[in-house]
Amino acid sequence: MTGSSAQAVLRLEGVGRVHGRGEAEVHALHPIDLEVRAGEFLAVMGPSGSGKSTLLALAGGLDRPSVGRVLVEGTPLEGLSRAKLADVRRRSVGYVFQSYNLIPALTAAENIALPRELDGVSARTARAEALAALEELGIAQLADRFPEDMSGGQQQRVAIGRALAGERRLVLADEPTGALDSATGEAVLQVLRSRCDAGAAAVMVTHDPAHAAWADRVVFLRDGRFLREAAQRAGAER
Amino acid sequence: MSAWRAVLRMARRDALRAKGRSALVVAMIALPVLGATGVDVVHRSGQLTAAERSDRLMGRADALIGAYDPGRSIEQSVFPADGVRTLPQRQDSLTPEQKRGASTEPVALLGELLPQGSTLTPARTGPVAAVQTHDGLAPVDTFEADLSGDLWKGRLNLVSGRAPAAGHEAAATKAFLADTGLRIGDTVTVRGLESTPFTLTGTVEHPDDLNKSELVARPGELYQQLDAAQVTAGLAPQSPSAEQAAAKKDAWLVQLPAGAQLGWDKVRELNRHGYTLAGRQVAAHPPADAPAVAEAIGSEDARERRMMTVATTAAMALLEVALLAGPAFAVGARRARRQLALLGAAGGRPGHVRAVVLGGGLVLGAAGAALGAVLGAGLVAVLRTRIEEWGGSRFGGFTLRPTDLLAIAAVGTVTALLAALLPALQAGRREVLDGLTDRDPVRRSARWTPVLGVVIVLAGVGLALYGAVVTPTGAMPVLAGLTTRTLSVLGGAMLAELGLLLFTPALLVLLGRLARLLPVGPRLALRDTARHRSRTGPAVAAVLAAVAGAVAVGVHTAGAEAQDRASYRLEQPVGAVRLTLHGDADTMPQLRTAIVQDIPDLGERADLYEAQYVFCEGCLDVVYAEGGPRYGQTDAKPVVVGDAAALHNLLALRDRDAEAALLAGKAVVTDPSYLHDGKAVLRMRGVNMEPKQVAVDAVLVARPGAQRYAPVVIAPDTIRGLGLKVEPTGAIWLPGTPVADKAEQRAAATVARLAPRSEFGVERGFRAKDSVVQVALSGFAALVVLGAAVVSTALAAADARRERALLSAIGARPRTRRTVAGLQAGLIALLGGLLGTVGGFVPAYALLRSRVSGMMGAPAVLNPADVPWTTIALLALVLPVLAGVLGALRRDDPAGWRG
Repeated sequence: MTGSSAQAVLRLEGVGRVHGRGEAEVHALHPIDLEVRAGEFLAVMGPSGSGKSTLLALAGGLDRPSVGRVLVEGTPLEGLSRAKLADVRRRSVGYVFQSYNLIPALTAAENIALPRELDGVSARTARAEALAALEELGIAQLADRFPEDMSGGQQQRVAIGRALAGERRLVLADEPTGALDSATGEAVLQVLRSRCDAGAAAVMVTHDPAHAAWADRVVFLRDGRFLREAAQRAGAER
Repeated sequence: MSAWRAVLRMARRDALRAKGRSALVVAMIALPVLGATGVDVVHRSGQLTAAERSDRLMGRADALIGAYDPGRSIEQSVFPADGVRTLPQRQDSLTPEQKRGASTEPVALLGELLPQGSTLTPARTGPVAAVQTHDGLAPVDTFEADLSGDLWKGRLNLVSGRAPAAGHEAAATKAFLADTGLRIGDTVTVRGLESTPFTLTGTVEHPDDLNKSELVARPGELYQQLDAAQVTAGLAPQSPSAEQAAAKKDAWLVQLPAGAQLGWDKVRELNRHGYTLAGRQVAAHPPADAPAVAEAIGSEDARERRMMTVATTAAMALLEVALLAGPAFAVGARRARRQLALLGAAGGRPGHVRAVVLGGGLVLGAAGAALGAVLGAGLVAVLRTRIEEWGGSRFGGFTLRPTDLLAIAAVGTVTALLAALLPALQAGRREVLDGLTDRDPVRRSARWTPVLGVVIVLAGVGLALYGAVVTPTGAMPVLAGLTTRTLSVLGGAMLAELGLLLFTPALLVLLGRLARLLPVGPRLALRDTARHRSRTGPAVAAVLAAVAGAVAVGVHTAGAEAQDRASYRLEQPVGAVRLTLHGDADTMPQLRTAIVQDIPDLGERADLYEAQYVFCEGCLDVVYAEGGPRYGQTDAKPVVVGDAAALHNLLALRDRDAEAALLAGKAVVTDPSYLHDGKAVLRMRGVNMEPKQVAVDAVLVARPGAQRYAPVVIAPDTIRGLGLKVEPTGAIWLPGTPVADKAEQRAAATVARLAPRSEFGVERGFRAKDSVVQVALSGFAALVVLGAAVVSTALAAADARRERALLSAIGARPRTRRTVAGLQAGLIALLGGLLGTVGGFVPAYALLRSRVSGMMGAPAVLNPADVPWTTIALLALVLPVLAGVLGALRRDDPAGWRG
């Protein structure tokens, strides 16, 4: 799945992030290079403060790098306005966070349909797509439930559905199973894996080696630097 | 479109989830919309259709004819009440109609002019009579009508009891019953008709004048008897002007035979004879060439000033509502920052984020506006009878004008959108990552903000004053019916308030710098308030708006009263009763008798005269006393002629020396500028003649109040001794006890009947208007301020709950937490109070400057002594302490830190 023939969905070229100035300067992420291709599931591991979340924020255009450049599906993010970055997130990148992923005021179907509706797709079409995604995720019965009426696992599945709504092919997941019990976490990871097998690309930050084992490749970070990289066959250590 | 539907859906659901906050905003929007809707529905319902107006005038009859000025040609509007103009005429060339109008008895003339078979029913209003009450005599109007049929329905309605059917039965209006304390079934005694009291059988009302105090008897039972009684008492009108005035009251209802009509041609024909005609057919089909409704002279300027006050008050109130609702949206946006960040993470643009917050404004504004409009219209419907009684007339119908209601609701919705605008802009600027990680970074405020604030405040003040002082009055409206002058004042006032808001960040930064000098509690409070400007700013703005409104009301009220007091000119000593004749000198003996009857215990009477210079046969000129220079000219006022009693009553002076001097032929001078080397100089001048001057020895008395109306008093004999003529001009009394209002009304009615051109009045001195309304207004303004301070500081405090909970978690004592909360609330209220005080002065001062134009003697600049400093201190200083105490007493949720 990581064959060189596959197109690079995410590419980081010498990307680094420095907070503060002078004596207060903190290197959250030293310049790194990274490429994630279509169908690839990458896990990022490392202790707290190692720069994992910074990496994810930079990859999706939520933060801007101090050096280097980020390309999503070939589009360089530097110099894009906030509105254009939002367009990239709406059409190319989906985020999944540890918790509080869903907009409480919207139902499961509406949460998934949101990026499409924001993109101008008609509400009817967006809902049809959302219902199809929920069907595929095996949670069609949750379509009209609000987040507060769903379990944590169900919410995360809906979040993955939203992250891949429309044409989006890159999922950036920050500890998506951190707030879930192990069985539910495994189920969520299975969904993520299957979406990558279907052609999407995913970058997942995790502390848990067992969860990282679902990935095709694992990179280790410490103090904002790449420590090592391990390629593994998907599901080998499951 | 799809995107906006999505964000509006979020906004609507958010509004439903935060029920308390939403209810607060909905109430804030609904209240002014309710008020405006109520006013609109009352106004529209009070506007009568032509048919309704006809009913009020002529009941079930076809027309109402009035004897306006028989023998003189006139021109009328469709309804004579809208304007009648007497056309110029030459005595030597009267038209046949004028001759016929002057010489023919009215009923006979009308019988000739109206279609054959027309029926005339007299509709003349009767004289004012005095009826016996438990407290004495009360003046009431009188009317004769047969209420047993339908003819009067619409003009005079029987609302309870029965119509008078037998001799000496009468109906009365509600106001009559209230004034006299009588009830249906009681007997009422009319002065002069004591031997034939009337029994009250029913209550009637004039739909057009519910406050009219009137006794209605059957035809032939009142007017003639009253006239006869007045002749017996020597009080029958004798002057030509009184007879003319009585004749003008003659009117007739006209019932036409089947198929007959009275068109505009007939109106013109009657006008040529001096009669007015209000007819149903003409009212229903008004002719294009009918004269328009007459405008009163000077009404344009007064209306513009009134419109300016109303427009400025309305605009300030809307701004106040927008700023008051602002904190609720700000807190809502801050609470929802994670959700808004998720929207951003899902690809929502900053515009989408702003739209969610603005959508909240739209949803809540529309809900509040709809609720307010429905409640406003509903309240008017429920309270209709009471409102009609307050207003003094019945509605034509219950009129809802959809375009008006939609416009009012739209303004309410826009107000809510304005309230949500700043929080929306702040939310749109917030970084997605900050929202996701729950960070609340403190941003530096731009250096140019306070500078821009100063510029905007100065521009606002300049614009408001330009509008009030420089722009001309009576200009054409340029926008929404408002003139440049009005728009300048209200625009300037709003600009100044918005400019002051831009000061808030700079002031907060300055205050924050003081924090390091303070102990831990105040330090935390000050620093936290200064750093979290997105939380503090809207709360300060809300208090600012409320205080500005209250200060504007207080300063304007106090300033207006000071202007009125300063421009008020005494015409005689306070308590004096004065009768001034204008050409009805022959009625003087009759009037003296009547007034003393109507107002007992008047005391000594002083007759007043005018000195006249007769310079040829039948030519005369008033004699003036010469004063000092004034405005580049020599001041001069008519000499007041009277004896020692005039000194007592007109000058309130009891001075033996002055009286002796007056009797000795000297002038008594109250204004030193009228004393020239110990003499008063009298000036007289005939047409095309050199002025003549006569000097009279004079004594000066200290009576500053009398300088304006009686600078020089000379005895009648002295004037005659100078070869001048003395002509009575009236009389004045100075009773020992104040004259009761009812006695004054009674005497005024008598004078109006006997000598319509005369003036009668009691000098009450300056009396502030509607003090109850002003107290209520000030109380309401103070309540709004307190409410705004408490609600906005509570919203800001709710937003800061996590910080205080964290304090608790690290071991801060409850007292420290309360101190922090209390000081934060107090600080917000203090800042808002101080800035609001400045903001409130701008519209108040501009409106006062505009008001003073055309007022003689009123101060152009607001006197510091007239500013209600106590009220302002209460708002700017006491209120913050109160808000602080309430903030300190508020209980915190110990688990608040969990968010």
